[in-house]
Amino acid sequence: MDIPYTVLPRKDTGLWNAKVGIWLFLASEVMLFGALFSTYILLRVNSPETGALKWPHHLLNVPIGTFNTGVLIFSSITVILAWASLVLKNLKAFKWWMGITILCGLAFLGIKSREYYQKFTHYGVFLRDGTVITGHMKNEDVKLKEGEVTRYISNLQVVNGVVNAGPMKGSEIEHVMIAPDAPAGHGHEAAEHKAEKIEGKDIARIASYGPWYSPYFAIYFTLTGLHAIHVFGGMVVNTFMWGPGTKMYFTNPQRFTNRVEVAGLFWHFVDLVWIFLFPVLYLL
Amino acid sequence: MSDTHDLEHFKKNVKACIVVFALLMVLTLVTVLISFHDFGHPHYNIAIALVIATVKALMVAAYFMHLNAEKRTIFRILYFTGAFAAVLIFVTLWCFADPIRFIH
Amino acid sequence: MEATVHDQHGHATDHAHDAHHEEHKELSFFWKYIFATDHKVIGMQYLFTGLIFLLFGFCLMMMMRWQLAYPGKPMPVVGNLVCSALNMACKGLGDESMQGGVMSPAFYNSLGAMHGTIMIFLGVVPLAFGAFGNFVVPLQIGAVDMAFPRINAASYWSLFVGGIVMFVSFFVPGGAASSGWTSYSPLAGIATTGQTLWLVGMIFLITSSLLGAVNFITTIIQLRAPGMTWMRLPFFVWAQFVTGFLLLLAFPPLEAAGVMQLMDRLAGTSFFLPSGLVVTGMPSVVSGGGSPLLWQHLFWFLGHPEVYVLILPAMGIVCEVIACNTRKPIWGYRSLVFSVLFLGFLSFVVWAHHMYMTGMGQKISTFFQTTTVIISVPSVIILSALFISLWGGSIRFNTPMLFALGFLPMFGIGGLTGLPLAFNAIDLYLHDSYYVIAHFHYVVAPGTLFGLFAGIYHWYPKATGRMMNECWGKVHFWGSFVCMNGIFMPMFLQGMAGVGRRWYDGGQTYEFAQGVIHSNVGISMSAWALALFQIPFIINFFWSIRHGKKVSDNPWEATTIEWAAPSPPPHGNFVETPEAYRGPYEYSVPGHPKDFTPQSQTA
Repeated sequence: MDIPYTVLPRKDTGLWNAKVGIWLFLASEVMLFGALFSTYILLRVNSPETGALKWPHHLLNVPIGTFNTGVLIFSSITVILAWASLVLKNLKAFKWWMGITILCGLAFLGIKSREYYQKFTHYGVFLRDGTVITGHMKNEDVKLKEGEVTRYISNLQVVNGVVNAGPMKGSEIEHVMIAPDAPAGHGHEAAEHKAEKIEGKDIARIASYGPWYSPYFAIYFTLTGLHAIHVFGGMVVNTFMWGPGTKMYFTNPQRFTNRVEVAGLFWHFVDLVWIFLFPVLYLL
Repeated sequence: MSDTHDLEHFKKNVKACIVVFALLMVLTLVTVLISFHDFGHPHYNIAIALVIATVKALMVAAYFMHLNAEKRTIFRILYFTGAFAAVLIFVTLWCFADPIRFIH
Repeated sequence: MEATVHDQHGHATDHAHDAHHEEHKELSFFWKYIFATDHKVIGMQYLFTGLIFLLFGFCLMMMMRWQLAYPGKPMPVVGNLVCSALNMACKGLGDESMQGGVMSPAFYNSLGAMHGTIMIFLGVVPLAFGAFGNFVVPLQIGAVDMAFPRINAASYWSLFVGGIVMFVSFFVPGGAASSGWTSYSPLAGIATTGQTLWLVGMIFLITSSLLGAVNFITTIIQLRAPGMTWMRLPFFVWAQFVTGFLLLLAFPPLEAAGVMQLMDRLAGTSFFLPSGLVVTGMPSVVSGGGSPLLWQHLFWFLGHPEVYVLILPAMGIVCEVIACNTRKPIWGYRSLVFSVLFLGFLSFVVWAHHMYMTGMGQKISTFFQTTTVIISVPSVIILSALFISLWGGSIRFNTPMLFALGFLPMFGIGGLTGLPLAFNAIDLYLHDSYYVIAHFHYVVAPGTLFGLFAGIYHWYPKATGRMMNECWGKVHFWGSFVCMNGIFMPMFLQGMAGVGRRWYDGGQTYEFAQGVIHSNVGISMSAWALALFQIPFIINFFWSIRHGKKVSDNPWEATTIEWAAPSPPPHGNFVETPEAYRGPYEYSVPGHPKDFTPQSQTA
């Protein structure tokens, strides 16, 4: 038994099965990201004009974001060239272009995780009077007394409280030391320098720039996180095509070409989503 | 892609894709640069950036995903999807824009 | 397709000559029945999974009915069993939920939430879409299999994992999800671990439905047999086609919402948590700035199309059964098809009629009232066409036909009682009352479930080559029919008197409910009797696999193409590629020798 139209198109629709399948799948993806974009718009429209939850502008690193956008668009053209090489029966060129595509995906995810890491080490202290003090945390723990760990942040020092990844209440913290204008990487000196002390009772909440920080970061991490999962999924498929999947080329080249085309369609869709994500999250 | 005419056509399409790639890069830079320019109101910035993004997305869909030469069935699926995505986004927002009076 | 020869156990001894062909070795039991890719086996997997969860969800409800009929009294036997089972799985959980057999309010809530979730996402959807869609659709369009057999298997196994996660959630600290099947935030955002598992389970179930939908739509577009034009498709296929689109486009927003609620619970985000949230007297530590209403919008954007996901396949089944057993063509085939398309389209723009209580303005509520009233038109067209089809037919009152005939008035009652709810002013009064419960259960329980039972009795001979017992089938039907009405009819009265749907004590403490709560006992009795009347079905179902009356390939003398395949159909379905020469319902065509002309018959 053979399922028809896996290789050649059906006459009345002019399509082979996987082409219909991938477009249906992409249609559902459009609805998935549509719902998230609708959430984005709503959160943004509802965000206050001032205060901690104000929608930030140009908060993320624009040069890195631009570079990553370039990487993704470039990988989109290489996946086309990979497919085109197959159509032109050039397996070697296919391997090259597909390899570059996979590397681009890897680069994208690497840069993205670096961006994530920078956000996770950036802290904000929300005071009860509505002001927010932000700063980077330094990468070392300093032991002050037995059983009491203090972490230095380049211009922010938290005493008697372990800074979790998640948000924490001000009432759980005794006080916070703020060292203004601390040179990066010199936490000790900064703390010895001239530190301003903020009592725990004045602090409403302390959090790093994770998804818990504000609605903006919530939607930023959710959208880019889901997108990164899609990039990863696309890379898995591409790697299969590049590696073990290639053996189908020798038994059924047309079907293999179709497969690569379908994988490419998915990859372009991931690119297309990023084309919207980049301006709405980085630039606007 | 069996006969030479198709192959020629195909090669031309791939070349078009490379041109589109260059355009996408340029448009990305343009979006970044104008996001630092003040058009008078943030709304103008948003509108312009979204228009450019839409143009880019259409270019990707038309050339990279070769929707410019796709079959009717695919378009029908996409019309419905587009319509329902628009309903999801805009009717939901409309609901928030139209709360009951005397309560808020 | 290559011709295949099959021995009695259905092992495919395939003589295909293709080099890259995987089916020519005999498959082991494991690959044949567990990780199967054959659409019929997967259909059966869906069928059994669906039926088991249907029974499980029904058991949850029967426990709740005890609490409603005899509030605060210890449940005999079952109460202590459930208590010790829960204690065994998680220390102290049983004492929290069912100490001494008395149900706690929290446990009542989680039973209610899980009854809804399980019945809809693990009971009816796998049956209506997964089981019947998988088994019948490829056969009816004359295809060898689904377009993507392995994705089909992945879809089933994703459902299976989702079902396991949902089941396990009963045994974690705090018990299963208890924020209603709708999981409204912020209540669900601060609920116990069960809610997290609910969300994880839902993501698996949604993935399953998405994969299934892609597969179904592709199969119907691509794999129709030669001559099987769109207007020659049986109505059941049309219904599944529209259902596929509903799942494909309506489920992703809920998946997005599920991911966001999961983020709210696990990553501390505030998508659905407002600013200034106070939980048990303490200000919450979350950032706030989210919108609880957004969850409702995204949920009901799926929630309403989901209603049609539940009902359309049943309508399709009923249409097939009625055409076959009235021995005349369906009245208004084209209007049925256009109605079902229109219904599918409109079902995307009515969702906020579930949310009139949330304080919408006049403009938006007018919009949703209008669309909701309009959507009743195609439903009425479909129901009327099915009723008119009965007129002048020589009706055979066999079991599937009885269930199909039962479906018509039951769905009619369910649908018509929905009309008042479409209007904002009336809905404000009836919202969240037992009236709503009665309304949608009439649609789904005696409606959809009767349609599904009709389908099981109707296609049983195709799947096994044997008939189910008619006499016990009739006992099953009449018992279920009476009990269903005994359960849901009094609920209309309770609801109109103002009894709320989530009340733990069934209304004992409310003075205005005193006049109607005595019927709680009768309702519960009916529910337990309904369970007794399912026993003949269960026995009949398994007994007939080996002992039912052997029948030919087309025992009902039906016209659609699945009856041209051998019973049970082998791997690859048809002996030779079928071709459609005519419409699906050519019964009693004048000038033809027999009162049915199969689609695959040339002249």
